[in-house]
Amino acid sequence: MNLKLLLADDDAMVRAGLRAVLNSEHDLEVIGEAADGSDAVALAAELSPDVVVMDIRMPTMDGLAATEQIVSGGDAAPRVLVLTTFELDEYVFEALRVGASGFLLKRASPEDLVEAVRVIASGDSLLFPPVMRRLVAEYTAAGEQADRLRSNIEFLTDRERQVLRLVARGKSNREIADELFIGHETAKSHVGSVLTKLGVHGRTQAVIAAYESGFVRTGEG
Amino acid sequence: MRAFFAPWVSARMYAQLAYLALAFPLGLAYFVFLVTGILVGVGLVVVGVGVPILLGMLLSWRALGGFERLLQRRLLDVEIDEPLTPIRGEGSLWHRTKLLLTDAVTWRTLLWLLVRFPAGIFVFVVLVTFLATSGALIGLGVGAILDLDFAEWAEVFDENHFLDSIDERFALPAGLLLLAVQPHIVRGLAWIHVVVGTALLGPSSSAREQALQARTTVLEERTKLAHELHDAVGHTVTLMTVQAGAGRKVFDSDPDFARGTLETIEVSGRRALAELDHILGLLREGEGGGSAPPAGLDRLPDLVREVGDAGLVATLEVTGERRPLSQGLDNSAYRIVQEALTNVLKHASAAPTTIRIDYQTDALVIDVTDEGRSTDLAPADRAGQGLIGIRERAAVFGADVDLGPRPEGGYGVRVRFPDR
Repeated sequence: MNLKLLLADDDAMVRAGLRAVLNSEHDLEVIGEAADGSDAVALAAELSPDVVVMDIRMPTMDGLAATEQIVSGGDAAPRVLVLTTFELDEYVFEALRVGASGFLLKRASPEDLVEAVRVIASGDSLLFPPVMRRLVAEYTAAGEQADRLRSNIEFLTDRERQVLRLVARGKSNREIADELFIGHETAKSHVGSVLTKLGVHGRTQAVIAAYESGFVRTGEG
Repeated sequence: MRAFFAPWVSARMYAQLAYLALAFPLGLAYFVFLVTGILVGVGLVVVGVGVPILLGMLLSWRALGGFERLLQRRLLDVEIDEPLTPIRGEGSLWHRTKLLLTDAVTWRTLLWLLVRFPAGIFVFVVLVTFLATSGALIGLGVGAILDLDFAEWAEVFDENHFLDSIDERFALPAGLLLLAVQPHIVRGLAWIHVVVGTALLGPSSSAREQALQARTTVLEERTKLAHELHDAVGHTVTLMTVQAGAGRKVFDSDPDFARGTLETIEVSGRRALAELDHILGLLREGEGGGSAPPAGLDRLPDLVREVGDAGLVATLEVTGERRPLSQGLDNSAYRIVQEALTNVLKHASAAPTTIRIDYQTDALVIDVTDEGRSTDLAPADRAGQGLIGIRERAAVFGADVDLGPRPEGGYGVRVRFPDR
């Protein structure tokens, strides 16, 4: 089954380039294009793609607001891959915090883009764990969320806490299974229940929650 | 004892001493020169010759101020800045004279030069008295020890019988004490010269603040330009990267698309270069201080060649009788043409463009029109920074501006500078 993709970028030339790259893969299919955030939200609801490839800076509604609305649809909601023109900055982190599953610099190679879309669609591991964790560690501020997140973590079993720690270290489901000497499916279901108990959209948000609650500290792992 | 006389072997003390030794002769020379020159100048103002004499005096005393700052720096080891209105500068003689006359440093310098005379007398008296007295006392003491007779000398040099009144046993210690104190006196006198000199010869704190403010503004402006450059060029180069990646990936499967990406990359590259040129031009303008005068209309052939290198075919037509323009107007006219061409590069895919410069009897008219397909350009696209810049430049000279699509096709920038 093909992965269905939606592109959101205000530059038609950039969209054309992304579309060509993604459509050239036999298992990927671009099913829609949006020129701004509100278009992206509408099309995501209408077409229910698997992944939305989203530019951050767009007119009328930016990629942050659009991401937040798109992922609010619950488990069935599309996952979001955020694209950024320049460096990894607080906008990128903010996009991850509101629910994007990963990010990519626009200047990344076509191969990296295809890989990123596949990783995000599967949800089995973090996209670029080291960079992601550095970004999260840098911008995470233990704020008002901390208490609520801590009480969520209280509900985790010991095994689930172990799993969360490994997720925060960027381990994939397969690696978690190997490390804890459990089956792949068991690992997957542990990750699933961690996400549910934390009330987060995906493992990227679980990592952010782990840092924001103080469960995992900067520089740890 | 050694510590007591240590200052006598310090090079710094001798430099200070040299400065103070010069105080009286220099002060006297300044005083005579300034008082004579100014009085003569004032006296001859009615005849007219006085004005250039006074102007010459003004320039001389500012130059002497520079010499005085040099002396202070060299001999007193003091950091003293040059004033912000230098004697040599740009602009007409009258303009510079006005600047000098309104600069407080000019008048503070005059005050300093005149005060140097009484101060010099004071310094001279203090130094000579101390040296002579300590010398005499030491001589007396040594004489007493060696049992020499100064009676005949004293008749000549000590009419008031000052030395007679002193107990010979105290003469040597007293003389040595005075000698030891001397460097401290020198240091004190030098310190007074440093404090007053810095206050009178250096730029005032408000002028310093202004200069700092101006510098800060320039730096802020540059940061802004750097950001602009990063944003604009960064965006374009990102687009080029995305298109190039896509072109490579589908090179075999979709050759038509791949060819399209090459065209996009070409146009984008051109746009990025134009953007770079434009912003670099702004930066160069900001640097100022260059010896070359700002560019004028006579540089247009060079500009046409430059945009030609970027792929824009521009034709220059000059009509009417060419005449010299004021530097400001000449530069603004040149910049407007430059902005207009940059816009053609950016927005009209470098369509062939005609530049017309018409020297009319009562106006200078500039017209830059391209043959681009203006229909597929949103007006908002053309209302970029460049066009705003054109309006601003034109407004300074009360010029009429006519920007917009031309009925015969293309886009035109027409500015009419009235003769004033």
